[in-house]
Amino acid sequence: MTDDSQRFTAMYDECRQRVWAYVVSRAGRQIADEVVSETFAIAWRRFDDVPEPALPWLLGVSRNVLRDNIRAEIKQESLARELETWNEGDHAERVAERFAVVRALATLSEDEREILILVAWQGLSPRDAARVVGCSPAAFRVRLHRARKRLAQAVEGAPAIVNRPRVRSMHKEWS
Amino acid sequence: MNPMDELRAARPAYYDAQVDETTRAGELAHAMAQPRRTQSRKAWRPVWGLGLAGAAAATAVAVTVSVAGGGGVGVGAGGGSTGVTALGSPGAAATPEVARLSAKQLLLVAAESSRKTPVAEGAYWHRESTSGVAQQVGTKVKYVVNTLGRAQFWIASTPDRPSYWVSQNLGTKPAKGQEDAWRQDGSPTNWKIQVGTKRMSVTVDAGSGKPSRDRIDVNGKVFDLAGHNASMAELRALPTTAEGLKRYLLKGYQGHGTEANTPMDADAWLFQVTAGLLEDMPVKPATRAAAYKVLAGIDGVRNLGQVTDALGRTATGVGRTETWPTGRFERQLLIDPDTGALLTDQYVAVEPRGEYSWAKPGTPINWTATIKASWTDETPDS
Repeated sequence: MTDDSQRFTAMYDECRQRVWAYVVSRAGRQIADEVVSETFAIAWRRFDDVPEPALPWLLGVSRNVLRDNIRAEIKQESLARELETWNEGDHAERVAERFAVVRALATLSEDEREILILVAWQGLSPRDAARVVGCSPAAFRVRLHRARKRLAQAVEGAPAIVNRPRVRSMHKEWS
Repeated sequence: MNPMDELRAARPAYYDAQVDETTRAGELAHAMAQPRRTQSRKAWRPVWGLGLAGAAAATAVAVTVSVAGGGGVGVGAGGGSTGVTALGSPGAAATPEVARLSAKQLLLVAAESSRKTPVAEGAYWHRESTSGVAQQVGTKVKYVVNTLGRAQFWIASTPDRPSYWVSQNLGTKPAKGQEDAWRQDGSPTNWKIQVGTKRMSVTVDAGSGKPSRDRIDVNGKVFDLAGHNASMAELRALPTTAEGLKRYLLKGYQGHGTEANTPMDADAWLFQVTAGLLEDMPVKPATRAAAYKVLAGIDGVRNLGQVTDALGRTATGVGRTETWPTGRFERQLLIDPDTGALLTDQYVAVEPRGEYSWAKPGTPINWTATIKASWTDETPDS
């Protein structure tokens, strides 16, 4: 293997599952493999552009792939199914606290959910998360603050009905 | 616990799961089958360009296999036993008047025609091309298939708009004259092709793919010119004399090729970079003319006479033989003498070795044919 393919493989091994998880939380697992595969194809084409750490960049690319390559209705359907599983939970989860918070998360808007997931599940700093969604770190902090408030309200109120996901136009894109 | 901490604690288990080995192998192979595009050396000629030259190097060929391709054009007529038409092959018959000219004279004709083309402007520089790469395949019997592709570049005239590369795999088919061998092999619709190391192979499918669009602007500097990224404004300000342009370009020469760190002599490098400029870049007519004059000043360029390109267009051709780890190949530029347009840029086998040892002399290994290269006020979304 060449140096590049070794480095690329290492990056893939480090980040692949994170990218997949991100796509699942945005658009469901039905289409996650396809989006991930295309994301890493782009990453190889542009390997010299990939910054370190690679994860925020890869998430940004997968976000664009999701927007540009997947038809809206397919995305919507796949995400709706995913959120149903969040709302129902599995047997072990039903008794656990985590069920309530995941269920609450499923009721938020797509943008709010994304912001919370980037921070809480992907573990990104606000700065890196801002790069993924394509806004300034300052704007991201404001949006994060708002999303946290919404999450707290949703946990308390914990509405039983899942919001149908809305497909929105995205913000400034990653380039 | 506050909701944010609860949320952290509720992170799904699949975040830490391992991808299964089959998916992993498939995704890695798919990714590495893509043509490389590098920001530092070549910001936006992902398929061939010098990609052509890189293609002659073993590893570069491997990664381009499933994507590059020549226009769905069946690679011209003729065929011969390799099934790949000898486009402007070394032995191509030249018409008397063209044949009498030296390569240098031919390039000066192209320079003069370029100088006379009108200056144009628009919102986007739009270039559309088809490309092809030949590959030997087959289990029971060996034969040649061509993987074809189409690519479009939309380069914004000002950096406030996005620039895009749109590419589409047009599928892989037996080369002309190879259909019988393909049928003997059981008429397969996909082929396994070894990539890079022996450990990885890519399945090349006969079917075509969807177009995919990719943003390619890097701070407004979209073009790779002589080893650095250049903006539209820099292109407009390029020198308009051969001496000035040559001096400008050679500042980027560092002893190695434009795609990799393999050593490359200055003449081959200058030929490469100048051809790339003529093929891709919206420069002033006077700069184009200067570029042809730079080519005319390079040693070792021969006149191929009158030739037909992969799209069936008549052109005059010049060629320069280059040596790569996989043997000797001729870089050929097929030019419309009336307009100075660079119609086709291709690599033809001269003395191929290794993974190209199957290619008879005169076989184009890969080619890019420009269909359109013009300014437009249309946008990539229209």
